[in-house]
Amino acid sequence: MVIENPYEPKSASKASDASASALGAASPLDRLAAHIADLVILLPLMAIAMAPFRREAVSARMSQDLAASDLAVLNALIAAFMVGVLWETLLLAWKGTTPGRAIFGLRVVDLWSGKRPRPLNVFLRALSWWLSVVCLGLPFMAVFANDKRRPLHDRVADTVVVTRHARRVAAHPTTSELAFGAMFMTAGLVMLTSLALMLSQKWSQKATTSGTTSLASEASGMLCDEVSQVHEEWRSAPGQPQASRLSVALTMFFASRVDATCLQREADHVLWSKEDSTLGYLALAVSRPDLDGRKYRDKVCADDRGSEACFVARSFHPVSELNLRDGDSAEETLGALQSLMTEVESPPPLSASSAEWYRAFRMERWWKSDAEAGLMALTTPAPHRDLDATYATWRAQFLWQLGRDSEARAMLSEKLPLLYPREKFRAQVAWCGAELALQGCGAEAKRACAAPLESLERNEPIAQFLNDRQVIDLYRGAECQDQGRPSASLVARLSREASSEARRWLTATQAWREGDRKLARAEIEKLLGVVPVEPTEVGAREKPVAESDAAKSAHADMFLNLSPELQVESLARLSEMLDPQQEPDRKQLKLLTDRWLGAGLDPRTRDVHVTDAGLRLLRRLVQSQEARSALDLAKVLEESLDRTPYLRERIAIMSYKASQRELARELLLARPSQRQVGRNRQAWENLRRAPAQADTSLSVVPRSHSESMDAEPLTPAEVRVLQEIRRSSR
Amino acid sequence: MIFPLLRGLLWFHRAPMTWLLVAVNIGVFAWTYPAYEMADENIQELVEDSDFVHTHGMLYAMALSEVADQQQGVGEARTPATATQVLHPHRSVLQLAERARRGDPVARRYLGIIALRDGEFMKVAKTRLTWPGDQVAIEAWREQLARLVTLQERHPSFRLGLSAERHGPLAWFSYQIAHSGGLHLFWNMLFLLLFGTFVENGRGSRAVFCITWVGGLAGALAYVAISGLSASPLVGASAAVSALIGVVAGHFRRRLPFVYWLLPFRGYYGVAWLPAWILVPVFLLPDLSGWLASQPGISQVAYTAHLGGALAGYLLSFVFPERSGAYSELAESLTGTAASSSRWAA
Repeated sequence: MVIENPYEPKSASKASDASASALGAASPLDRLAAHIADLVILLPLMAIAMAPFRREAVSARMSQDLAASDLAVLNALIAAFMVGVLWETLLLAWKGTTPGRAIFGLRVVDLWSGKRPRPLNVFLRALSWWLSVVCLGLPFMAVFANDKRRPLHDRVADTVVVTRHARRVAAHPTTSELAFGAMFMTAGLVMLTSLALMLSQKWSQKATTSGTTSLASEASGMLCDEVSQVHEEWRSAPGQPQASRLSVALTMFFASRVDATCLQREADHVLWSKEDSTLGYLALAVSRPDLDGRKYRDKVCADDRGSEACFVARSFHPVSELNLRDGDSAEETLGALQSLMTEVESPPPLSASSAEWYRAFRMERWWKSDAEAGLMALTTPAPHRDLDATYATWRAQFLWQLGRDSEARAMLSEKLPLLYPREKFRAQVAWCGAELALQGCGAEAKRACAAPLESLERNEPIAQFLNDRQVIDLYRGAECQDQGRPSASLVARLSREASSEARRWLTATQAWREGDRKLARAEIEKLLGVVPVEPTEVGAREKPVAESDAAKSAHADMFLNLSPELQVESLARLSEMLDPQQEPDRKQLKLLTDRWLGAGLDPRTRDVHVTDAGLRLLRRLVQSQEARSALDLAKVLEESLDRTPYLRERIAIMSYKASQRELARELLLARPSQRQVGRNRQAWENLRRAPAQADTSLSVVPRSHSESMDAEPLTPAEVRVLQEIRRSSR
Repeated sequence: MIFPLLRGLLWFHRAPMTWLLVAVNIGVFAWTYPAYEMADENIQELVEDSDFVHTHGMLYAMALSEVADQQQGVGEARTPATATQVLHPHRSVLQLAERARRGDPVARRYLGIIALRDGEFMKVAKTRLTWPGDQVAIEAWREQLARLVTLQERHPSFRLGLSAERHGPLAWFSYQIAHSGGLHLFWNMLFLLLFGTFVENGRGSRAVFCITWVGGLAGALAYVAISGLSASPLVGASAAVSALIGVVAGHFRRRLPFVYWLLPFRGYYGVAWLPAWILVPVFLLPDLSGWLASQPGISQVAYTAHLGGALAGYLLSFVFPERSGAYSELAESLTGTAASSSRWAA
């Protein structure tokens, strides 16, 4: 037996086994098993030697000092190696065997004398044995290849491992042993080569990126390098008002030069360093869209609800301020939303003493509400050259708004090359959107949209995390480029980068393009919170589908979270979807009109796509004799009525019949520059409050009137009304 | 590769005290399991809440800097109830605190975990009313901390274990019968049975009773003396089991049966008679290396309790000598078990 029971009576054969000494070379399996047995004692000893270095490695990893951690691991391995060498050297020099070998009756002896080897030889043997281990044990394969079973370490030390069990003496290597050795050797060499290749590749990568990695490790978890750089230059620039580091970071955040994570780090540092806490809380309120963000908003607004900081913080969490109760009707919800929007849409004025971050916020988020004031506010140059190009794109946006198109184009052409790739993409998308809004799908729009669409199709990383406006502009650009049928791959890419609402909008619009009208309508209606309608049969009147409370509230939530851009665009698409051949549902038209009125559309909007869709709805309202809705919508689309003189006439007739003669005259006769309708709120309000019978008297257009109403001649009665209006104005 | 066989698992009538101890451990675990599972899951959830752990770490860093300021005579003096004057952190923890203050989230996380185990800091955290810093985060942290405290009050490991919060005389013994999970219980009970039945057979039930409880007590003492009381409770019969291992390892040169498995070939596995001291490298040296390698305040295993228990067991082996003839009984009872390997040699 290999491992004896010392209490068992010894048999004759065993006695002769024990007395025999150094009979011959030990078998490879015995030698392997002996080493494994040694590990029972050796491994714990190695672990103790490695312990201080392991502790150091963990400590270094905790401090994210990877170099120190690697060094500690290397030291631990060296310590283990030394213990291994010491173990072999001491025991072999002292006893000629180790506990594991002793169990298997093995001894290491000098090749020539057959006695215990000399200490120096033993040391060299131990060293080369462990080196063989480091070389994946490949040198050990020689035990399968020579008679005396002496691998490298035995040859270095002139030793041979012998067994005292006569039956366990290894014979000449068999063919299968030779084959096994060769196979192991080949596999090992292949592994070693690939390992060496991998390591060299890794090292060369490390060498080339050493500069950036050190920077990254320094920056990770610490303050942002971009902010440091701009803050430093900002502070040293002559004539520039002094700004705190966080104020610089906020400005850069609103100018999209740093991301939310960076701003959070900066704010975190400020808050825990007990510095300017209001700005710190503001930074966290704007960079965290979650529940905690709202808590930070409340903190900002705790002292002064009218402050700039509070306004900015609130504008990032508008919906959460709605105090909705169970059982609120859709009208109540909308009312609450509108009053909140009115409050949020009146920001504290931008003055000379306002902080730069507030100016940047107003430019980025409020440019659409007052272009002239925005342009005025931008007369002071950007505080840092890094922000110059961003400010220029804002200026261009205002110029578009004011109709100074060529100036905007010149500004963008000049500044685009200076922009960083991501901002350049954003500016290109905005340019594309502006051209589309201005003239629809023309040559200018096609040219402007080509570059951002190309970036998108090439899956460039700059075209990521698109906001709703950008998704809409890019989709419209693609519609324009591809004759109304954007490719599925492009839509898929857009969907990936879009918000969940924008994704739904994309699904609906694409379904419409592909002819699935039912899906398209259903999706858009869900998005707008309109009660879905389902046609029972072709041509029949649509009936509202019974909807659960949960579904209703889900729709309401979605509508409340909808961005204004997506809301208007969805309304435009839904209005486009009105089937000219089918008689519209009055309730449906009413709801759609209400949504148009609630969408807060600027009466001076120049977006031809949106206004065309609005006019389309207006036509349907006129057809259906929905006088009150038609007049309300006409107010919203007043400027665009110039494009359809016929519709203008119809509405003038409607208002005349509703005893709003003044209004009718203004609509019909005044030139656009003189017209006051848009601002004559009182007249419109009077009209809204007009008695209901006024509606019924407006039977100018027959119910089954077709879509080609513009071409339809006026009836003699209508002509008479028109003449009367003209006469009265003289 | 090797595993003690000793006398195998002797049945109840041969080792009643060991079996009784095992029954008590399993019984307590089964009884407290529902409460344990519920509280553990919730605590785990809390500890995985990165905001909570980060804020906790950051407050710990602030408390440490206050202590440093006070030691240098900077900053205002606080009453002991509101300051962390009693914190004595390790150098690496101070480095972590420095990094956390500079905004390193990884350092904050590590520090948060260390702080959850720092009994003194936990006391301060629960009582101190005002902290400088991000008040919104601190408010959320305070709510989570209150939840943690409630959960800990219900958690069996905290109710039975030995911690900074609960270290009355009873806790020094009750911690030995509480376990922090099924696997923890399984291994402890397996070794308790192996070594307990062996010791009980040789030295009697009284010896097992005394060695386990006194060994457990000594383990806890060693742990507290070296690492101090932690906010994370000390639980498990490991120290008591280590005491039993200490008793058996004390036989030193006497050979005991072990099961071994070296290679998957006949003759390279079976039963071997090896000197008792082999238990030291197999069971006790890993504890020693684990202790030397562990970061203060982070290690999940109380290595020092194992070592203290083993030392106490070794000393107690002189108090409870082995009855004569016990060892020859063992030799006789297991002679046949080596037959499998003898067949190979024949």
